[in-house]
Amino acid sequence: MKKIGIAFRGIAFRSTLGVLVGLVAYFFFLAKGAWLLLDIPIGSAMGILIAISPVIPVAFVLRSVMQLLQHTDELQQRIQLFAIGFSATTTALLTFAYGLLEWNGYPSLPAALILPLMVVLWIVGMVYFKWRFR
Amino acid sequence: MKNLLKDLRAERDWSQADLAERLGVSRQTVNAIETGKYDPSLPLAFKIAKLFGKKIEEIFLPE
Repeated sequence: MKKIGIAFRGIAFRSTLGVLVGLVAYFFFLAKGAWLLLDIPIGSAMGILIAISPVIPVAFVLRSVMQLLQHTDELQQRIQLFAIGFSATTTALLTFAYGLLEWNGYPSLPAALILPLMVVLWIVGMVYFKWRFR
Repeated sequence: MKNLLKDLRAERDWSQADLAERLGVSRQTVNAIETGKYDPSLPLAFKIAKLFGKKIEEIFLPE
């Protein structure tokens, strides 16, 4: 029985480390990319590559999160399901509502804000559903 | 669904953490099952029954 716990803790540690490394890499790519883009013509191939480079660490973070979810127990998976469901539906509702407001003259916001919004709502959902099952 | 998990655990003088370790789940899961906030899956219910040497219906009771 102890082996299961130890194995999970190892996976949890590696996945959490993966998330942290991915986040640090994301901010590095973002800051470095923004700095490099100052001297690169807009629309050039190099500019496009640099602009989307933060997607790589984000994909790494998502992979680590998925690994973690696969190895958590059934209650934690249910909590995550509710949290992700809450995040996805609330993000859809908010972006849809704001999209309608844009037709009424509200300023257009970058689509890159959608993922951070989803992550924030996911964390909010996780805290709430963890509390509900406590 | 009601259950006798807390009583069975107490009989053996196990903490929630001890039982969680034996079942390969988190302590929060054991607590949620004991307080009736969460009904376990069939595989976990079988695991619990096997651990206590009982049938599932002797541990989990419909309300």
